[in-house]
Amino acid sequence: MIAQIIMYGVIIGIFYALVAVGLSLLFGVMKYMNIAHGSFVVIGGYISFWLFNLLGIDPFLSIPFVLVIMFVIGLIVYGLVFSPLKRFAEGQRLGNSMLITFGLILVLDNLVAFLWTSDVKTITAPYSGQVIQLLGIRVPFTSLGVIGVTFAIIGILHLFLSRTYIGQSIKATAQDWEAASLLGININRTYLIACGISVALAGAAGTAVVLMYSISPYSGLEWMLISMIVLVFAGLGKIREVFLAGLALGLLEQLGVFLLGGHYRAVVGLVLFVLILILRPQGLFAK
Amino acid sequence: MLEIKDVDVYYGDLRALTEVSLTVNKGEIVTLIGSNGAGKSTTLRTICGFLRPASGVVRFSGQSLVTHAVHRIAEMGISMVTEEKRVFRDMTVFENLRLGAFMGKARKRKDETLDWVYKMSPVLQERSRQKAGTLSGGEQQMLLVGRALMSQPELLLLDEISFGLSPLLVKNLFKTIKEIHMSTGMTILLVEQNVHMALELADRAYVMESGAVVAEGQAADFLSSKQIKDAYFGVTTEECR
Ligand SMILES: Nc1ncnc2c1ncn2[C@@H]1O[C@H](COP(=O)(O)OP(=O)(O)OP(=O)(O)O)[C@@H](O)[C@H]1O
Ligand SMILES: [Mg+2]
Repeated sequence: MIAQIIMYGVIIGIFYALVAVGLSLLFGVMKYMNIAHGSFVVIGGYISFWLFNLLGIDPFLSIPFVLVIMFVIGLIVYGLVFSPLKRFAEGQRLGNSMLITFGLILVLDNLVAFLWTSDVKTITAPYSGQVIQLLGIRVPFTSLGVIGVTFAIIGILHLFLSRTYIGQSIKATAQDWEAASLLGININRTYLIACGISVALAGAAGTAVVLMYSISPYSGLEWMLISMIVLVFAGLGKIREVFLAGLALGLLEQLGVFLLGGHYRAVVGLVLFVLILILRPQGLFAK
Repeated sequence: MLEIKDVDVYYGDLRALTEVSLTVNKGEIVTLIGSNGAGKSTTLRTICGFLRPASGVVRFSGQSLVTHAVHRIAEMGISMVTEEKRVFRDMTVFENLRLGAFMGKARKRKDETLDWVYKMSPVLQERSRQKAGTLSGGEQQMLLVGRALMSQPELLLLDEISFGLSPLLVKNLFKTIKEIHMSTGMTILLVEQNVHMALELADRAYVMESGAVVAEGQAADFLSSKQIKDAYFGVTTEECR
């Protein structure tokens, strides 16, 4: 029983990290909050759904396409939604970013309902429903695939941020944009790229969602809440801690489900969310 | 090389600079001195593009700077070490220096420049794998200067780099600045509280008071003229002895 809680907790936790990592990047770099993050997760899921249904592309193989399409959408979102926020004084930008992306949810969710109807969609690949015995526990094949994808994506993101000039300029901008701009780093361009990456990561998480669960036009809120909880666990704006934070949430949630029953799954996360904001606002893993 | 003429700068309604004019010629070290709140940092931040003058001219190598973004001005060859200690704390010393060479032409020659910076300040090489936030104050200051040098600027702006350092560290830092100037002929505009040391290093000096330039001249003249010294920085010069 314990082994099963841990196994499922780890699997779901790693998946949660994938859901949240894009939002963490956006907040870390720009200090903006994107309430519509969950809606982008859902859109990514629909794109995978389309690629699978219309073109027969395997969802795992569709991830690179989803990343590219969502990256472009992220660039557009930056231009239309976030870039205008620079007019505001620095102290007002966070609040305004929340308001404007809240409005964005309404636009996106209705657009999605228009494009894909409000039916619940999922992908049934040939291997859906297959399970693998792992340490005596039955684990869905798709979950393991999602874990592999998450490791790959977070690994590549890490290499990109630490090894390339653009990645380093993103990190520098996140820490101190004034000092970064003095080194010749174009802050607007850095924000643009970071927003593209953030939305692309949301899209990849969407592929995972449509494989492991299902999507519908108004289900973005659930993923937004998960992301918020992971962010608070990790400490706002900390990218590296997101992985551990996702794991922590996954494990605690599974423990809660075991102790209290499945109805309380979401409640566990929200209660922890509030507790951590009160007791450890700097995040679980801050020194 | 740098020409500032009749520049007015406001913070909201508050006028911080009033008709400030100064020039820095190629290869010179010029120092900007004056008491707290005189407007020295404001002047440097205006040159870099963080602040926009309400009126007046800021020109670098003949080009007006006042409409350019900060990163564009950096690309034109101006680098600044700001008053606040601003290393990228979560990045290693090496990563900080490498980012200094972010811009195209500096990036091509970053290995040579890095060797040169390491030679100038071996402690940076020793600590190259360490997080910048773990360095001591003096080391961080050296790192900031090194990072600015990595961009191979034509004009280096230094804002109170000696602040908070022990006299010995200050002496070393100034020695390094002097070496940099001797070996590259780099043009430097230096803001300092440490008036005596700044005047010894500089060719010329400007004195600011309440947002305006109130005196200018050869640094040596300021140093030798007891009157001027007492008038503008009586206390400070005594402290430096
Ligand atoms: N961000 C700001 N907003 C409003 N007023 C400011 C701001 N920064 C500086 N000032 C004011 O502008 C004036 C000039 O400040 P500045 O920082 O340029 O002085 P300084 O000569 O660099 O002083 P110090 O030696 O203390 O660094 C001061 O009166 C200061 O209070
Ligand atoms: Mg100052």
